[in-house]
Amino acid sequence: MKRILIGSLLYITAICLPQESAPITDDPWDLDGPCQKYVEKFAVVQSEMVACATNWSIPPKVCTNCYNNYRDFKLYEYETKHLDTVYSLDNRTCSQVIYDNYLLSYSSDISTALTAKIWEKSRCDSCVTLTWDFPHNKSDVAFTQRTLQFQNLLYEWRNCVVNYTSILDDDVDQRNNGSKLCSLCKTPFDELYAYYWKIYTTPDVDFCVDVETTMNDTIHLWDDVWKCAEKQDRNRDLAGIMITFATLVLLTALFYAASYIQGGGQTRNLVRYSRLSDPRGQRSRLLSSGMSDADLVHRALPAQGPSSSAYDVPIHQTR
Amino acid sequence: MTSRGRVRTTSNSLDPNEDPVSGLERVFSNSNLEQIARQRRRQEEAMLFSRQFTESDRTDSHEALSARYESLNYEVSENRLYRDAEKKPSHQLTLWRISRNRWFVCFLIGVFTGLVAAFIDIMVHYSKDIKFSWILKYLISKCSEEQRGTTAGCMWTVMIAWIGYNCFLVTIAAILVIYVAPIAGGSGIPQIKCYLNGIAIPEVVRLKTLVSKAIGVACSVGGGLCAGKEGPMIHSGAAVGAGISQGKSYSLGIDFGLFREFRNDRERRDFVSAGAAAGVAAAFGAPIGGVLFSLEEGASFWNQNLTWRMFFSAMISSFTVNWILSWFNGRSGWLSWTGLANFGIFENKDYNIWEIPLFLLIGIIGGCLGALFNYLNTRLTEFRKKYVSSKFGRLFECLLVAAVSGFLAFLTIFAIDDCQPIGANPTATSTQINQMWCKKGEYSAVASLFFQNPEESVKSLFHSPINSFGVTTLIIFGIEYFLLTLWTFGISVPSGVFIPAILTGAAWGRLFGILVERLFPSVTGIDPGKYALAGAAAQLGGVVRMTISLTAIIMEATKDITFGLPIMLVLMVTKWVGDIFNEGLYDAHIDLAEVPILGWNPPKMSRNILADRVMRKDVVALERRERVSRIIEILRSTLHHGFPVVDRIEESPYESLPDYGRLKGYILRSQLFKLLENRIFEEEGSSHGGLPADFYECQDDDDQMKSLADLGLTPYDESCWLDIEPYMHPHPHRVPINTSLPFIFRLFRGLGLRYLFVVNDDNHLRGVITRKDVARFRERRRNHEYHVEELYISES
Repeated sequence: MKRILIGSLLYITAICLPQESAPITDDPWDLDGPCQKYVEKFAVVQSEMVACATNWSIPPKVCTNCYNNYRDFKLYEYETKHLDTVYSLDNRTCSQVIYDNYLLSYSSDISTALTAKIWEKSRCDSCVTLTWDFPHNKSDVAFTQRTLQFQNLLYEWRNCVVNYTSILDDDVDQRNNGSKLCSLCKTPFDELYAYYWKIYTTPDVDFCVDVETTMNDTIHLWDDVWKCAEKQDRNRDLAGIMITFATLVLLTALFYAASYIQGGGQTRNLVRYSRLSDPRGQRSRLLSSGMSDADLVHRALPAQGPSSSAYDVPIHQTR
Repeated sequence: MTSRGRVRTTSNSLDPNEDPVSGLERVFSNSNLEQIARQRRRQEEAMLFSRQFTESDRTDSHEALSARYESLNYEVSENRLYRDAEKKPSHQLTLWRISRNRWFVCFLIGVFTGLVAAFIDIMVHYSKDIKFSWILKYLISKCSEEQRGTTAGCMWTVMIAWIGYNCFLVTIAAILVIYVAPIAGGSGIPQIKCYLNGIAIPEVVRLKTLVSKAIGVACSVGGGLCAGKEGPMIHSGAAVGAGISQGKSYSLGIDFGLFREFRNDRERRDFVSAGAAAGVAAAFGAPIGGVLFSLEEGASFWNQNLTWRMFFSAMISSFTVNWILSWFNGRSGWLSWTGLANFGIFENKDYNIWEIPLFLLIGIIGGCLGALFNYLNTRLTEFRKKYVSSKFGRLFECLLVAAVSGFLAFLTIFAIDDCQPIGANPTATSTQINQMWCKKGEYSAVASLFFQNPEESVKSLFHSPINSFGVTTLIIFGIEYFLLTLWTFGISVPSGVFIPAILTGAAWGRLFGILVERLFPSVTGIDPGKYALAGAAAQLGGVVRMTISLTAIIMEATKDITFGLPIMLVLMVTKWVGDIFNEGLYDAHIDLAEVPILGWNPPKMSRNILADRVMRKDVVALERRERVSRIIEILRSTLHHGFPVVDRIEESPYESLPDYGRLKGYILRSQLFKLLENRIFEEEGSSHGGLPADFYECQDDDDQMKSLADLGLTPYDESCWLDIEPYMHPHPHRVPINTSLPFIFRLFRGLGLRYLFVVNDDNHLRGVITRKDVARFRERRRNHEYHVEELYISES
């Protein structure tokens, strides 16, 4: 009875006080006790990465903002995978306990999601180069050249915008309209855009999602919010297109009309087999057996003359 | 008696020296015979102009069969030599070698078909590279520099460059088809179907056809025509099959001396079937679809062993393509590359029971559109056949189609302002041309459809997010592509109809999906992609009217069996609906080509047409011993591929045709040639000359024929005799004179016959029936009644 009471009490505490981390105890029944602290540290680096990614999710800019968290997370992940000297009570290494021992491994699932669904899906390797030195728990982070270049151009444009907005700040209408701003910062924007477009359209060379979304937002802001977009003037090409259109329509019409007038004159020899008359001439001769014996003797003579004349021998001689 | 005698005497037909009684009897019996003969002729004429033919005068002149198509020869000429071969001790080894070589040849067919497919794909890839990276990139960047200052339009020059490049490639394709191998034009599936039905289409499986087809299709696809490379791949596979199994090339004039045992039409047919299957397998990455395609659409003759070998070829060919393309794309050894056409993988695979009616509706639309397509294309092809027949005219038409196709794309982009911000649709590849007249940072959704590879466009219609294509875009694109495909199919370039039809269908299918989504906004999870897939299947099914093989091909190309049920439903409904209106595109083109194809069933209402009316009576027959000079004259003045051998030929007393004796056998033209070439003559009773070792494999191979002059026969040779008996096929197929047409038809169809002799009760030869004699009777359905019509035979 007493045991039940204590048991239920413990149970109630467990329910009422959900804890963020499972208790580290040295209880003799805690099979995986020695590994618990690693898991907890892992939880911290993972959650930092998660927090960073979520913070930078509108617009998604994980690569340029969370690379430190990602690095820490990856390094510690390596460590958890190589816990070969720490053992649980059943003499398994902690790496085995964390990754292989149970039906589910939340930490592994979360790691996979962070790596594949966030970092790799954002194509971060196109912007940030991480060189790993796992055994020494070190890594170097470097932005790729094109990202830096893009950043410079972006800052240039932003500076321009900042400079002029401060001038134009007093006139709200003008700022919303933005036509002044457009003409003032057109050059940096064009340079930025030209650089971006060059990389974007080159096959096999990519920007990460960060740069793409930054640029998309910049374009959106510039084009649609500030209405700075230059309309590509279709009318300029109207004349050329109309000329080509007319030429092609004319050619097509002429071609088919000419074919119709000229062609169709081939006569075909159509035969209906059921109304064929009996063969005459050459064919009629071929049908009957050629060689009567009399003719044979006649033909066998070598002095018959050139072979071509030999075919003219009449062969209707049977019976 | 006396009065009768007097009458006859006055007619002066009695020889005065003849005994009057017997003379009179002879005259009497003669007049009797004549009377009978007249009666018979009258009956015949009455039969000819009987009720069934009164309507046939209305037959349009285009409904004819061309006399230039001959049958393939599937029958073994079982002459004495053929039988003796089995007695040789080496025969067991030969049998083993033949069955081993069959598998080996199938392996090679798979490998080479895969190579051809990979070659085409790589060519198209490079052509696209040149077009986008060199020409257009340069021009567009030049344009954007220029436009800053000037007011004159510049995109116009891009357009001209684009059209010019397309026209250049299409010219190559057209020249290859028009001047090198005319049979390489079009999709090639009708031709292969005819070949497998047993018709010798000239040059259809030659090496030069293969080369023209492969290079031509790469050019026409690279040249931006609404053309697919899948149909031509099937033709190429068939040509590879025929080429490899023969171990020699007529076009190059090389004989490798390999696989001599397969040098006959019967073996070659099987390898062509295997090649066609390998072609489909390579084109779609669909080995099972390939085999089923060969079964459903290609092969007229089928057996189980052949199925296994076909499957083997198909497997090897798709493996080869995967391997080469993975290597080409820098991931060597990665075998999950999927053929030339690959429709991507669907992520949202759900569908509900309430969507089934929608799929059925798509099937109905597909059937109607497909039937419309076939009707219009048939009319257009008729027009072309009649009026656009000169070589220059055909070349010019190809250029015109290329120019208009290119221009229409630009015009559409110019006219539709469907600019989407970049990033809206990740599947639309980011190429510069797509920007065109859009603002900076936007791309034209229409342009991405027009300027991509058709396969890429199909993928983006299947898998793009719901808002990436506007309704107007889809309507206009669908209509334009439909019309362009209609116009393109049938010009003198190698071009298939699979991908264009799929693309058209995907466009209206996606439109259908968007409309469904608007009609039922409360139901979430409608993915226009799956309707695009159903639409693609429906459009293609409506055009080509295949069910099983298309289901398999589409499932294999999407790598997904989940949509099996909707696709099957759609394809079945499509076929039913389409067949109400007309026949499939390939069958329509076969009819237009005037090929005497034999369908699966004999014409209805033909039971009372007997052999007597089907056969031709003017048979060129031989006796068992013939004078060489007569054989030469026959060979020279006829084109028949073989001749019946009878015991005697006599002048008929009452008909202009001779009275043939008993049918003894049958000898092929090529065998006569071989005999003449080797001078197997008898002179005054003694024979000389041994038989050539390869005599019995010399079945019927028209290409092997030399001209008679090459044989160099002297007048002395011509006076010799030729004893045909040991070389003839002693038991050719024959039917009595009162056999019905359906029976004859089934014999022809089932056995793949090339000829059938008609004999009377005493085995006297009365006539011969060939494929054209059977095929000229066609059933027609007018006013809900079936009639049999007789087609004209065009001897041009």
